[in-house]
Amino acid sequence: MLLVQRPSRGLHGLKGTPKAELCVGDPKPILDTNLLRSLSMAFRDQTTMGGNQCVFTTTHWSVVLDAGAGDAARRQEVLNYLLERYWKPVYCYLRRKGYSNDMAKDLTQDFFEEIVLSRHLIRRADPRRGRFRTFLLSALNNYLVSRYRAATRKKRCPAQGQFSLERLEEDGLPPQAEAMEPQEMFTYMWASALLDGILAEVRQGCVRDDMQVHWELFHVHVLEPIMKGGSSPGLAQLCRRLGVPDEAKAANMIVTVKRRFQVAVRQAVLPQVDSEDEVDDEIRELMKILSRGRAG
Amino acid sequence: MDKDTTIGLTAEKLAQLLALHFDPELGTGQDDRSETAGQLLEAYLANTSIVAAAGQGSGNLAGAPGGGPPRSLGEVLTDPRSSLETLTEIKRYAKKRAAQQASEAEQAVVTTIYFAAVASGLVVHQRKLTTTSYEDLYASLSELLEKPWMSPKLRGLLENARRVCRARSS
Repeated sequence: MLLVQRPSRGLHGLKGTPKAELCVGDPKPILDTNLLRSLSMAFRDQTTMGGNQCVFTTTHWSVVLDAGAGDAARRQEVLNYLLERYWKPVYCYLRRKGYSNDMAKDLTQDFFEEIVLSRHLIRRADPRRGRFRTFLLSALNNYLVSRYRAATRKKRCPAQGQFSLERLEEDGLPPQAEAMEPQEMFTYMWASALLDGILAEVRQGCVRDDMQVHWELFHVHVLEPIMKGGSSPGLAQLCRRLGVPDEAKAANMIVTVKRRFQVAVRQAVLPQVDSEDEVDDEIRELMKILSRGRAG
Repeated sequence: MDKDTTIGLTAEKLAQLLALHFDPELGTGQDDRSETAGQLLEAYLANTSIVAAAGQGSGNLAGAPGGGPPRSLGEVLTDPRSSLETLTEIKRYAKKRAAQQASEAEQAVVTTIYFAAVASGLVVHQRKLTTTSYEDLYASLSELLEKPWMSPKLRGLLENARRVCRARSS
């Protein structure tokens, strides 16, 4: 029987000191008692840098809300930031609503400018209400109702540094778009853009860290069977092809990349929800919507 | 390596890709929790969006100085060019995340990130980003350095910071 000090849900004094729990047969904790005690003190500190207000919000809500306090350059930066991440679901939603390519592009641009520069839509929304995905779709519908505001776009928007939507013509709509309702399209593109960013993040990280073989294993053994269908050639064959000594090593390499994928998913979704607790819920909800074939 | 795109996949396949997040193979690591913590720490250090997220607090949306390519968390923590502001944001970010983490391995990881940011402030900028005493910092860094799961990428930084703490605590 071991008596181990285990952190409370709030960890190390952030929301209370670590509490002792009686654990039968528990293995040695990853962080041991002395360290937890010192961490408790460290986490209680009032930092000497940047004042003592340590509430650091990282959601896209806060990015948008903070933009209002910034200058024109900052607002433009925020606008580009949001467009870069979210133009696809908005644009595709509009196309499925029946707008032409040009009209959908204009409306996409206008919509984000409305959020960041005019802030009329954001003022009507309550960040405490939750997820950024839900807000964006709701705000988009509100915007369409009052889209006459687009007429003032040129007056508000600086001519330089504008995000280019030209790429939309290259990408267009996915093949299955015709079978989807606008809201399904929005959720589909939301998930697709999210996953594209995650896969790019993991792939680039593997390249940067000279782990191309890791990535190749993950790609062929895990991704391709999902994305292209069929099954993996098997680890033994992959080991021979990629020069990996044995299957156990290959399996470990795949887990390493899976772990990176897991962290990348978490980091990508985190800014779209209110708290860490909601990350898994948001992913599960997206999976549920997508799996039932009604992506909206 | 070609860029992967998910556009054109069925909705069900997108759901399957998202499900990798919950892969049971990654589990809770009860069998070898040190290995889990080590893998998780390496994954966090390789991620660039953490720096971008931390950068939002200081107005740096790209997370990279001068608008360059995004840097991974590990690069930022060990790069002498990283600004004090960026390190402070990362420290705050880790602190906030520490309050929310559910799993023991994740707690260990964000705790390490917290102390790595403090260590970098000490070593690179000669600034202590915390009111914790040098003695306590020395003890915490020493314990972290004993962990079998500690990343080799951070060992040098933590050891240097520990030397600074020892010199200043006397």
